Amino acid sequence: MKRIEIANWAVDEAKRLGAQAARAELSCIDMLNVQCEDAEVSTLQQNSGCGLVLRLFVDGRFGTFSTNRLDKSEISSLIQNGIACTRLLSQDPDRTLPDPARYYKAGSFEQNRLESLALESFKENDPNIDPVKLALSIGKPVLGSDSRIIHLTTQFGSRSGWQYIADSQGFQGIGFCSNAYAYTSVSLRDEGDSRPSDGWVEAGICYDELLPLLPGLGPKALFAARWRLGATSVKPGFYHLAVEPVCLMKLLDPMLDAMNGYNLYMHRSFLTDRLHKQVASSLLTLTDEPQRKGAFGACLYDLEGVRTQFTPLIQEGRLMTYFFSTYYARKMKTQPTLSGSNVLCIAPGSRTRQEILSDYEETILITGFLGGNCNEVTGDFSYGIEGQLFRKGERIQGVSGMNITGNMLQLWQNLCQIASDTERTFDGYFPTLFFENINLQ
Amino acid sequence: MQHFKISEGEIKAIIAESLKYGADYADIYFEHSSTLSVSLQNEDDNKASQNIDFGAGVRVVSGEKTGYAYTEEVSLPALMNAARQAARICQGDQPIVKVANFHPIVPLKTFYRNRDLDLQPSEQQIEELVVYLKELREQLLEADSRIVNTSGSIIHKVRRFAIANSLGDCYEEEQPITNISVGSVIAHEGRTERASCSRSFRRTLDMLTSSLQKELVGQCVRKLHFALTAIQPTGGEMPVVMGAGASGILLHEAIGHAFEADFIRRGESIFTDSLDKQICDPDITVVDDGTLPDFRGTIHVDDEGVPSQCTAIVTEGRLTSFLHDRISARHFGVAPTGNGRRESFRHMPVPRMRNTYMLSGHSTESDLIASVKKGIFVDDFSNGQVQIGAGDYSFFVKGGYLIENGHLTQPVKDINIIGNGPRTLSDIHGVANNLVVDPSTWTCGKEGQSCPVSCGMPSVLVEKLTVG
Repeated sequence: MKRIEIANWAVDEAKRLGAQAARAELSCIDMLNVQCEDAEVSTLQQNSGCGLVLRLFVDGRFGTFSTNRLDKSEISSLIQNGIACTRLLSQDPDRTLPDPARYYKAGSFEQNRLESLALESFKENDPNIDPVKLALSIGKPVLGSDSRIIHLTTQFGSRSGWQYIADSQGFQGIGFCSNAYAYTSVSLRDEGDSRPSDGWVEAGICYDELLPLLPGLGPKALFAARWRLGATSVKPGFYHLAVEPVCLMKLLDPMLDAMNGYNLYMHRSFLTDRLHKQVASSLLTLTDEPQRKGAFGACLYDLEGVRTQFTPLIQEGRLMTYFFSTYYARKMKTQPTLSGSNVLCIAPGSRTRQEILSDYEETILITGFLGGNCNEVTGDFSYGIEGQLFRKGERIQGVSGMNITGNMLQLWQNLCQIASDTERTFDGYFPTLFFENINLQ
Repeated sequence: MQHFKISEGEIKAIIAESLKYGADYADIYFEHSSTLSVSLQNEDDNKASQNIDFGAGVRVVSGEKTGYAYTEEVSLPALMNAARQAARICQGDQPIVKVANFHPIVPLKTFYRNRDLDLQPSEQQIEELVVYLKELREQLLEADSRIVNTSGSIIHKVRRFAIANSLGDCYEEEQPITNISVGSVIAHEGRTERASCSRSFRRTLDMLTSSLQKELVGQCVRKLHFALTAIQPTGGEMPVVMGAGASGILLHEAIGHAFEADFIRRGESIFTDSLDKQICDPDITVVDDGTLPDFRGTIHVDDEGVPSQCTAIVTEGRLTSFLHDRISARHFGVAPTGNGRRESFRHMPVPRMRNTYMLSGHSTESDLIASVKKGIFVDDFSNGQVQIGAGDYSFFVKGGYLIENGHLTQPVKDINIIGNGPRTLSDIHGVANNLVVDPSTWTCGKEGQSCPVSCGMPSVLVEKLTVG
């Protein structure tokens, strides 16, 4: 509570020193990570930290100032310098705190706290959890199971923390987050000097979610690494592609960036003037479900304190909204929406991935991307891919050293099937998506 | 350690606590940094920000094991607690080594200004930054009336750190770094394109001269005009001439990461068994140079107290050194190469590149282009990535040209290049005599840590790469 009082004090101090409005965001996090190499502990890290971000609105100007030195004299000095620095900028009347009517309201500060969306509070010092033992145990099913294994890395870790937000219009809120994760990576000896590797990560918002997944982690990583052996390019041409849920964000990110108010304001968006128009196949319905219980990133309000809500982003292929924070809404002379997405969800189809793979003569299942980029203004993209070639649903060979190229709008128009295998990822809930007629070079 | 208000005796006590349970090495790293940023988007969207970061990390090494803990409170009790946390990596119940007495501080060679830097820039300096960005915007708009928006930002960071270890080494250092970037969007006959460029040096704000303004504006406008005529070409396997300068990303991705000795120690790199072997043409020599005056990857001492150096990693085609931190150096029984770097006190140091570049050869760029019947020339990049074990790497090409019958023809953009490190090296046939180390803002990511680096190269011809 002492730290929360400092955040509240900082808001008052900013006003006392000359800011007309201010917001404080205080974040504290504890983390633990154990890494093992070939079933020997190699690194152990246990840390905690706190940081305060102050957003100052001074004479129609705006500045952001942050520090991890949480004593009053340091903060006061930061605010004084910050106010002086902000006064040197040009006036920008669009910089304001949000309309208080849009704030999340739960009646009281304590209620906000109780409505934290975590399924259960994180057991930081659970006596039944021995992170070192768990990290060592993850690799056991794999070590010695394949003579080609050169190296095995396993990790077990957890993060838990909270963020308190307060502003000079009276908003106060605290949100808690936690996750526990485990990771395994396997390197295998291939022909020549090649040592392909692949890994797998499992995570939960608490230990109870993660622990049942640990026995399967090593075998999943080994399976993925084995399909890297002998991976090679296939004949260039136009292919059906399937994209695994865990790597789908590479294709979704450019769409989300193009919906962002900042990029629209800066004329850097290939979705300019596309609101309520068809931007993807009618199969695609993408929603933001920030209050979905148990999701990573679930929250009751955004960084401005504005309440979150279920929001259709793309409905049957039609673009339903842009992301306008208070500032960019004012810049664009429109109504604010949300600063960005929190928990993305794609509506699943009715058939399994394997059933759909069996439909096609040849499909490349993308299991990872290697570099590449998307031109934010035109939507033209090129990404390196890694994956596997399937023929009539049968896995044939690993694929590497190839690019997919095209335009982002065309890619999403080419979405042709959605599987039923929804997976929870750090960004949301996604099934395997299938695209047709994609240029593979 | 005066800045961190901690005495030599207290540091020795903290290191002794770290060694208490059988560690064979320990170090403590103090850091205080201030990052100022001023940005201007269009006419009136301007913003200032400043971040102050302060803390210390204790590292404890026992054989191949490492324990690490940091604290944001630099006091004896907090540091002793961090030392005990980090020492949990050890299994023993008594010390096996003692803390050495601190050696007298040996002056380091200097490659940039590193004393009396201001953690808090003055109001006058900040005011000048705002004016500088406004002038940049005005010059861009004057240069081409089709420009529909502009953006610019200046980031200036001063990092003051100190390191002491159980061997008795002790260093204090100040590092400046200043980045400026400028971008704009142009609209012409229904086509909209964006371009940006940047400069970054280990310098203070005095690098922001009027001649730099002109240079940035000229480069940005050239890139905009180029983008208006460029196309996304048909891909495939083809010869690629990589232009001097930013093409150093090839070295960074294709070999640099795979030479980092933590990957070698764990047997994960495709180059694990290649030390002292001929891996490419004898015309090729590649260095990782931490001593290049003022460049972004230059350091006087690395983040574990090893003085910087220029390390020849490929000498006349032979792999002559990996990039070592203290842990890998001890594993291989060699001297550390000054590549132990970290993002901040929140992270352990790991082997990282500094300024990585290939030395000039004997051909000319025009000869290399003339030797290609059908291929591409590339010289503007972003987004590199590598698979250390398989050796596959990629980087994104923002700009280049088709080469047809030995001549540069159609401008091209937005393509990805994929290759395999060892194969690409052996496919380099022709190194020009025009080495340029790129002055742009290159940042390398590894294990969740970012580090400033630079890269460079003379023009080279790679016989075959996948372009798509």
